[in-house]
Amino acid sequence: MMSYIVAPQKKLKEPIPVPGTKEKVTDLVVIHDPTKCTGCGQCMIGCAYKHFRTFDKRYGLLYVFEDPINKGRYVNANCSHCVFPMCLASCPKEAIYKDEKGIVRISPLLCVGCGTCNQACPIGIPRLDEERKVYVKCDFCDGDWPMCVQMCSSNALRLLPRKEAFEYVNKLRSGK
Amino acid sequence: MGTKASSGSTGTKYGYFLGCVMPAKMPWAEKATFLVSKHLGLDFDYMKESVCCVRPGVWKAINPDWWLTLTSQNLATAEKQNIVIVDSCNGCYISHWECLQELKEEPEKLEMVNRNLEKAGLKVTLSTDVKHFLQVLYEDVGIEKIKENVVKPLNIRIMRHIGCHARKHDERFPMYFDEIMRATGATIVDTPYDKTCCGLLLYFADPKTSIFERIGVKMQTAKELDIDAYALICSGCYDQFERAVKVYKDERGIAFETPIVHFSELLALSFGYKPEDFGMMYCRPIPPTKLIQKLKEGK
Amino acid sequence: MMSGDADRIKSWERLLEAGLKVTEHKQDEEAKKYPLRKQFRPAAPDIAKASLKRDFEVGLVYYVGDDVEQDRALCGLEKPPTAHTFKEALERKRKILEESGIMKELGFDKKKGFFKY
Repeated sequence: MMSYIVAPQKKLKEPIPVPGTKEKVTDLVVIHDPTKCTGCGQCMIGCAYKHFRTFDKRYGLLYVFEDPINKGRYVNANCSHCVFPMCLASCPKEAIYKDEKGIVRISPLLCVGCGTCNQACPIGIPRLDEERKVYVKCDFCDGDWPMCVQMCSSNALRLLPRKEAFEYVNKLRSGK
Repeated sequence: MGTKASSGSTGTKYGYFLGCVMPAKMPWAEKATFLVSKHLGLDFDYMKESVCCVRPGVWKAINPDWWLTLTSQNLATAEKQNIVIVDSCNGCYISHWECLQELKEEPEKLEMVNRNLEKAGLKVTLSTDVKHFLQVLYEDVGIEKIKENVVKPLNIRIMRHIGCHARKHDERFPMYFDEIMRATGATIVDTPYDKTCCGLLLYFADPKTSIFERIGVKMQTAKELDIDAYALICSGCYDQFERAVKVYKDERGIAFETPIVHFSELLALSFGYKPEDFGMMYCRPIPPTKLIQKLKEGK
Repeated sequence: MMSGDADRIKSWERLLEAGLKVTEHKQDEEAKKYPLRKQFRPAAPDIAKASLKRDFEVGLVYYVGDDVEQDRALCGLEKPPTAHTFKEALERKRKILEESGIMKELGFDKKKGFFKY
């Protein structure tokens, strides 16, 4: 009951080094609990405003939609800034990189909008920004407290350390 | 009328925050809330000079710092009046509560807020507290006392919509809601859409989805299950329910018949008050004639 | 066993379809017409402007006019003790909005009562 009242970690701290490589990953990830989500769409609106200054939820960089099989349940797709990102590996122009905070980013200057990252990503997170004709994806709000988590009305989106997040998701899966 | 509770049992001065929707669209809920709280012997009055809680859905997205500044005006006013803010709208509650938590956690933000409020002659010292109406009823009054005061158990079937923001603290508030509703004698019908958002927050982004795929499915289910009433607590959600009912009537020609009632109305009815005492039949998109009839027959 | 697998694949396909529908992003009509024109988006989104304006003018999102007061009288209530009645609360709110620079950044013209952009 009191778990929420204890101040959670809101900002990225030290990135975690990936063994065997020079790269680092973010210490935090955003995870989604479908048993709590109410489908209010606030996360998408908050994200859309932060990145594109509009309340049109389709501009958001994470997606929440109704589960077509279990009605009344909502599933989501958001970037988890993978340890070994497929989008990064697939990019023919090397426009995708991991910055010093461990955030996987797309450089708008190098991107040519080919869409390989969208195809390579297991959940197709990068999408085409039709105005600039480049691919865009979650940038973890530059390491700040992510807007989607701030806006979530039912505490379904959580910010957890990578290891705990993995355990949490496993627990959610086995519960179903 | 039931056994009157001893007055001033908790010793806290509560200031009821009306919000935007309640005074304009749900006067019956306002009256019923006051009837219930006075009946339970709470030191309950209006929070005066209140302004909009500053909807977290809009302002937080635009700028979290602005949201903090504007929300803390209400906190400062409450501190001046020496009251505990009581919200029954989930949006107002979460706006005030989160603002208070954030100011407590981050002294820099408190400084920033006070710098902005200073010009209007206000100051936040974080001496106030924010409570949800459910919290006041369940934690401060107690379910036993509510059960004692129920003199006319309601023999009706209801569906409930508790609202998204009430789910922020784990499953606490939904549990309070259910227990208090069961204490009135009403039977709660579970459906897969109980958790679904009313769509008020989504209305700015996608009006069609927010009306037809959120409220639409809820009201359709209520129609199919032949429910007596749709109970809710959040006035923000009521706003969206009312809007959706109107849109359905205008655009699709479907008239829903399940009355949307406020939680405290059902509580007041079970405490022995009559529907006329709080004007239950006035200014509603769906008049609860059938419900009132059923309650009268049940007697 | 076989039919179970087929069902699972089917359910995954449906989930994927629903996901594709959501991630499909189409630009505005205007942007399609003029591809080289960069869209200007004001700080206050168009869709929220009406309610923001009411918020600045009344202090709350809904007006309480004569008709609402009649309805309130039917329920045995008087004028709400909010900023509708206490104008000084509204004045304070306006002052905060003005002094902290929110009005300026949102582009709200207080005298004429509209958003400049």
